[in-house]
Amino acid sequence: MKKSIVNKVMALALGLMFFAQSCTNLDEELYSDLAAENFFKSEAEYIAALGAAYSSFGGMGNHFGLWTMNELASDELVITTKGGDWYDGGVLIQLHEHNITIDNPIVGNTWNFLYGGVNTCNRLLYQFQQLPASDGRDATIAELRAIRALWYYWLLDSFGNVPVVTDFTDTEAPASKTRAEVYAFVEKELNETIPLLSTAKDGTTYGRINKWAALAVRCKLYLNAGVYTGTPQWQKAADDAQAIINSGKYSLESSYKSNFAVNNSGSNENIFVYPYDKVFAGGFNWPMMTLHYASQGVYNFTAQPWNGYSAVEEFYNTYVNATADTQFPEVYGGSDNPGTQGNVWKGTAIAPAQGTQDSRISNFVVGPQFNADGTRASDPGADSDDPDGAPLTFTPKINTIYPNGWRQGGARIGKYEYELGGTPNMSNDFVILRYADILLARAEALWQLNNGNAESLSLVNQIRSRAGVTPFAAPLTPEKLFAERGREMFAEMTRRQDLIRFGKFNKEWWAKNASDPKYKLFPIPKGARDVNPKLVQNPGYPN
Amino acid sequence: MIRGILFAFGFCVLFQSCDFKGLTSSKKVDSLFLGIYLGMPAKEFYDHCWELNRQKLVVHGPTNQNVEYLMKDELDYPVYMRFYPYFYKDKIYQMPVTFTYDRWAPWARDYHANVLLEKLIPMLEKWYGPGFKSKVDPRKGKVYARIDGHRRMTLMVKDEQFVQMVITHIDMEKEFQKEVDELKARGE
Repeated sequence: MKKSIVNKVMALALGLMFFAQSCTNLDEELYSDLAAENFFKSEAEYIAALGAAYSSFGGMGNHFGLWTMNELASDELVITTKGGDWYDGGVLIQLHEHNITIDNPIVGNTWNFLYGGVNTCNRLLYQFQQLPASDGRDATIAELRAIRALWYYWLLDSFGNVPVVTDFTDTEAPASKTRAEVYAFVEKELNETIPLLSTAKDGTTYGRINKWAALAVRCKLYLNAGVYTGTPQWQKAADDAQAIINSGKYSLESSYKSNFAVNNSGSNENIFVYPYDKVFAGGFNWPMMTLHYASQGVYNFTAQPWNGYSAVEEFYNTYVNATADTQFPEVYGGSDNPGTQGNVWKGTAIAPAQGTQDSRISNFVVGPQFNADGTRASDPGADSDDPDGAPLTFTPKINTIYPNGWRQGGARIGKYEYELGGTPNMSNDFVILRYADILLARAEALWQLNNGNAESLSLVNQIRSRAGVTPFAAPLTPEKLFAERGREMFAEMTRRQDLIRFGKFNKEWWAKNASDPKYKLFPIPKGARDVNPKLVQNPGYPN
Repeated sequence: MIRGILFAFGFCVLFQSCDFKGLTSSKKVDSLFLGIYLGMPAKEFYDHCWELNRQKLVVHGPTNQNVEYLMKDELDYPVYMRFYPYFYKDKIYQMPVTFTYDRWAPWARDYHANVLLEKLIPMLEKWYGPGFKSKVDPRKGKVYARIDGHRRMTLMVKDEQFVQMVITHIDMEKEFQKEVDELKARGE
């Protein structure tokens, strides 16, 4: 506990050193001013400047950006239209149905968010590069390049062909690079910076990109290399994962849930996080986005939630079904989750059903809801066809995506612990890179190299054992790997990648028909192309 | 406790020391935009935003918790206006707002915040009437400000992407400051 508090304070200090200048000196830094007197002079100023680069990640844990775009385009989450609520011009449903237009504002916001992160790194790199060489300067430059590589990794993953801009002073509109060229750039940047990054894993590197975090990014880059370039890099992915394992710095927590607790900064499993804080670094507001209006009384929240995100029922069922759903077999076939059977909530949740007891069911808020005083939470505006009427019950079943999705339909996101009496802003640190993902990446890569590899099965079963479910028997299959990644990594922005890598992204799932392969990439936003005609639209989207 | 209040207070002192002479006025002015006003009770604000959402005027915005209004026609190109207020005694006492062109990009200098700032001022003077004055801070660049009654407005470039506007209820700010000073004096 003590360690976790130290980590949190150190990470917040990093952000606040940057922020404090804005507050106490009455105004904010003017970053576009490149006058020499604004350059950084001391080690402390180097660290403070890095805070600006990391504060860009503050957009990860909220709605309408990178996380939303990736999650809603997958089969994990959906935002149904609930009468007059949550239609938002149809832009949310577009993502779920894979009918994405070039002017979708979530896509446009994500583009600007990612290039905003790149721009901040480029600005700081420009400033640091003017300074005389020193260990502190060179280490800071390496860290900034690694951070920028992460932003480009997400651009590569989401948009494919994008401009690679590295010079803050360059005013010429850049042309797009091919996806393979962007991949090569990210790989080169990581290759060159990883040896220069800190190997420490302690309060000094919490919430920062150390060597292990950069290795984790490169591992994920290699895991998806076949998608990005047509040439898989399974051995390299396995090797990077092994390097992280061999470091001995990280391990699986005994409790899955603890990685996402309010005070999760002591997790030995989280490799890179954005340290949110309800007072000092707000913006992580999942309870507002997912829970029902009447959930306010359940958690004694200071504000009423907005009833948005729900889990797709068939995805939820991969946790509780010992034998896979027969619905949408191309996505869920082989997703059996054997384990001890007991009471779970299924379907309309009128009564408990028998199902697998997987501790990762904590990923969801589901079933009957009770106020903090023990009384049943109630929804006076319940739909007339709600299965149990006014009593608030989150039903795994969702009746429809549009126009009148049940107000109580769908299991809600419960991944991060919701603080009783909490505000709209959470203090849990947002997990961007996690050790369990790396173990599963190595398992998958080794399996791809040799589908009889015993270590693959062993790694997957480490994850399953921690979840309290029955280890898989040999042989390990792609369906088992895919489903286990889904259960473990829910809402951690990996599902879209997994669906693509396992060839399932364009298959049919709930409220989505089989879709055009072009949607494996998001469109280059119309607004971006309006001002830079050199940007090449992704294949299949209108020019 | 006091750390939280001080943190919130950090926002309310933004720009306060900038010396804008001749901006004071005793006129009572509390309107903000889209029907929102300084002193608006929190519940009324949430209900109002909900209604604006139903009318398809605003949506939840990205990057921190905010409400997003896309200004489609007010300027030469669409601009995102994002806002979320600070409350004191459950009423709006300060409204930070950011503006950014929908077509912002690192290389699109014509759509950077310094350009947008100059285009916003005439638009805001249509909303609020003439009255902005500017001051060039040697470190911070150009800052615009005005005071109408108990409403203070300031605008400046936040970074290449965003213009930051902060609108503050001066009387509520004073009351808040007094409370903070009392807490400080008690060592809390």
